[in-house]
Amino acid sequence: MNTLLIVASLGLTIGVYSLSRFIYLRGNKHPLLNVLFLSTFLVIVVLRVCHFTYDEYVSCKDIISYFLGPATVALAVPLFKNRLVLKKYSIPILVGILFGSLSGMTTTVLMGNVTGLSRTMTMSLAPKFVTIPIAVEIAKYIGGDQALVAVFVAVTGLISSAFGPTLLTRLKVTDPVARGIALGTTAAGQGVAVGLQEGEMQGAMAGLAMALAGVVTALIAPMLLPLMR
Amino acid sequence: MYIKLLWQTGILCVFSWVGTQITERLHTSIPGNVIGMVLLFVFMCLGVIKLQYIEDAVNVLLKHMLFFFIPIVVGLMNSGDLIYKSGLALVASIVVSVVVALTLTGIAVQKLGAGRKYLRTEIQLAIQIIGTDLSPINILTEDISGGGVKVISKQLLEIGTQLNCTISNSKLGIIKANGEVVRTEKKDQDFRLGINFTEISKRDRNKLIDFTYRMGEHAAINTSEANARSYSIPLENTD
Repeated sequence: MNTLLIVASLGLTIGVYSLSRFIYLRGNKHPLLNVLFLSTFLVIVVLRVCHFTYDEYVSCKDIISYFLGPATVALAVPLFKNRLVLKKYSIPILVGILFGSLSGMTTTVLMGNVTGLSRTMTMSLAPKFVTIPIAVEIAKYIGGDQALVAVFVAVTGLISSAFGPTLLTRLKVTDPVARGIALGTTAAGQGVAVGLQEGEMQGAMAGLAMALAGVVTALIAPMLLPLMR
Repeated sequence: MYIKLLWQTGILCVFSWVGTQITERLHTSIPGNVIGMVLLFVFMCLGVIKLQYIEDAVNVLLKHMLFFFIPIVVGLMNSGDLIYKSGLALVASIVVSVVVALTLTGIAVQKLGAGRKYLRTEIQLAIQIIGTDLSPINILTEDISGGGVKVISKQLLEIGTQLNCTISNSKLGIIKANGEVVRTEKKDQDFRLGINFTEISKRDRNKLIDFTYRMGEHAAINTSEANARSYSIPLENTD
């Protein structure tokens, strides 16, 4: 019975993902056709229609989520491919990412306090700039909710990649390295996609920033966030 | 094909597992997958793990990364009310922090002077490059700037190769510089090699800046809009 559930929920997830990806590609990769949102929506619809509970579906979670480990490890490759640029501009890149990560988290906590969000909400928002597998792990330590974090990361990526390039141009940030780093630091995977549309350099830098911002945030978040209340 | 993918994913899993073990044994707050990533990066830099050992699996995993989050996000069906209640505050928090972080990161990196500082001119010039263990190669440039050149080469030189470059042109005179290959790409039958000047006299550098600025005005400069915006023109070198 249990095995059957696992196979069924795995099949459902794979099917729904393939369908969402198909829609996304058919829709010319429109940012609003976010594959994660579409898939989640479809899974929930199927579960509701067939009267299944989350607990019955969640049997496949451990198997699928396991691969987030190797997927994060894989981020070493964009870092490695751009190591020469990293070496050359190490100071601007590292300072920029540190600035971005610190200011992003601080603003999030401040905004949370101002608007009266619960502690769990604020702690789920705080790591939202980094790529989902790292954000989910950080959330575990600082007391955020994993499902919320994943959604917030996706929404943040959506907003940042939609308006980021225009904002950067308005601010006269025209340097390809600076644009790529800013997009990768604030929009993670979606920043890389937008960066690649602008140019090879922007895309490569966004990939590098995504990996580095993950490391930087993982290092400072567990120390910084408990201090801010 | 699938066997290869499995085997490559296995390598990544080992790094992930080692990272998790380190986190657990040392009781650190750094996620195990981040430690695994840093370890893999170090091993790749040391040359123990070559890019081709893992590249296919990496491409597949990064391309389909969103798939692995679906079960986690479906967990929202139990906390939908929460988002609905504080929706506005959430959006406000996200928008404000995105604007702040984007602005600070972008401006910090740009002000600290990363990236190209030079105008680039697309022009074919004769260039001779000599490496330490290479016979002189006479080829053409694809573009040139005060910071480096891109050359069209039949021969692929490895990234990091140190070179002696000599450019001769009736308008420029003779320019000598030491450079390093920083980028390579394959285009049709040839290769494009990006060479950064590591050692060049101030006079020659100014001559190049001057040249690109003059040519840039009426010759074909780099046409991609994103790049064309990105060069600051050093005004003291205008004539």
